[in-house]
Amino acid sequence: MKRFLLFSSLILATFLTACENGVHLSPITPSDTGVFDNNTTQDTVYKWSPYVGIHATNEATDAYRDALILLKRAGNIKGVRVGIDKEGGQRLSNPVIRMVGSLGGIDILGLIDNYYLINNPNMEQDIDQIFAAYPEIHYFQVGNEFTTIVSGNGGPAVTIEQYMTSLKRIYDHIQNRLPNRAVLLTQATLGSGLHGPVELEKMAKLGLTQMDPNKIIIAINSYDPNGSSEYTGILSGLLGRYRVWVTEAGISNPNLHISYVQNNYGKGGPFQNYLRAERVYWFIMWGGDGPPDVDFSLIKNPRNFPNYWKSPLLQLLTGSR
Amino acid sequence: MKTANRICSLVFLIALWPLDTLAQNENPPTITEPLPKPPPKKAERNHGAYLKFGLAHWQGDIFNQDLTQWRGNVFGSDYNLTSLNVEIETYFTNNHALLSGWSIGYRKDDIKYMDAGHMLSTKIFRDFDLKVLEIKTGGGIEWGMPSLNFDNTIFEYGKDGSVRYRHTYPEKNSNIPGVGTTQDGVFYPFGELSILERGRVFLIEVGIRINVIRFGFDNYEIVKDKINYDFSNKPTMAPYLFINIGFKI
Repeated sequence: MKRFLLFSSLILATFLTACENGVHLSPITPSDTGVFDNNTTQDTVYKWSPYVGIHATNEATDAYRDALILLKRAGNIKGVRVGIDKEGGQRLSNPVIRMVGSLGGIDILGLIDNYYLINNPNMEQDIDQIFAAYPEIHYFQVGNEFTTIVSGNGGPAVTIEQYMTSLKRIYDHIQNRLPNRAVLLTQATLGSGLHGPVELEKMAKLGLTQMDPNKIIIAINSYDPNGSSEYTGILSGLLGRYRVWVTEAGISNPNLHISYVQNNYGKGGPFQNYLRAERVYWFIMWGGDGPPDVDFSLIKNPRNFPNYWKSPLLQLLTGSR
Repeated sequence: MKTANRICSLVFLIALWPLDTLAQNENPPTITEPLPKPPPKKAERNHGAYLKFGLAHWQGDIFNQDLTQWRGNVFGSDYNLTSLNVEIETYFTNNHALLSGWSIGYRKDDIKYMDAGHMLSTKIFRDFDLKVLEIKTGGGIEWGMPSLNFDNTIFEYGKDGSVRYRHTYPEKNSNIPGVGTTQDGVFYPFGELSILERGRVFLIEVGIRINVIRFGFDNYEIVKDKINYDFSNKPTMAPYLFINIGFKI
């Protein structure tokens, strides 16, 4: 028994010594409500992916412009994702898209509304009109969370098979008519749980893999990147030749925006490591189409411009604190 | 230890045998002389099944530019994770076909994340009793959903808008039925070497397992939306150190 204990102690000590260098602690989460030290600021800016989603809501245009100019001056914005709505009456002359285009140097990803893809005999003509109306847009995302958003918001029940039929129509139309006009993004699948990966695999088998990787990019909305493990097989297998962008990410708590970026964005973060995402779009600059303003928002109360609210993350990224 | 005892007994008997024979031939035993001892029974192995709980620590170095080949740096730090495992290990009464036993086990890699890092394994082994301890060597296969710690992508963004990156990952070559996508699991062989001390009830073991996992190394270059690739893959050794404590069941 004495020999057993001696042996146990010896190998336990050896093992613990060997593991000592392997202890990795999570980065200390900064207090998002406090003043940030240089390390926090540098780390966040270093990891930040300079892309943000914007709801094309005209009432927020002044605040959007102000926030984008501040971000641009700080070098922390390179692109935005803006919806091109089928319903709403201002689809082809959206002042927000015009405003972003007028700032220069900000790449626009146009999100073609799901309703363009449902029971639309004029799909090709609509695409032509969108292309003509927005020459400043080179990247177009064809739908978003198609099978969950449409029916989830009271629309008809739609399937991924229907979506792929529409995507192929649009893709073929562009390749036949204007092959160098645009690069498409797929509808974004959900990034956590099994629904998104399984749906993406179906998309691959329904014809996505027959499309040119130079002409189409895989889009994923990922709010819980650590739950994206099921994507790793398909993104390195069937869809290994395709680029990946995360078109929505973020957390619904302004006090955790900064730590979310620090933990998930950039080198070593799950968006890059697991999803190999070239770009990550913060979900929303302002999510206030229906009150209250959502807590993903980087700004709130834009109608109070110039005294609108800025999230701690936006303040950090614009150097205003 | 038992094997050593057997060897000692055998050597002792062989050494005594000529003397004994000689004594029988030259001097028949008398009533006062002790009777020759009966040959000892063959020593029995410490056999049975153990339930083992263990801790494993992985550190490796496969993600850097020149690391498509394992450099043998067990204490490198490009992937770095700790695992917990549970295993049922059976030792035969006697060796069969050179084997001393077999085991089945489950390991949870990187306990922070529940979605990945679930591995099942089975193994056969041979142990050698060195009196003060045993040396055990074995091999087996492992199957499951690997930890995300083995996925790594290093990006390089050019000022001209170009993007280059290298994605390193364990190649999925198996399906985990009933969940997720059709190629979401890995299946690979491993070898193992350990030293252990087995008592009547408890067991303690420390060793190294070397997993031979096929990794993919995918290089991408995107310039003005034109994409170029350089994909390769190769079996890569991913070792970990482990310590197990078990008790007989």
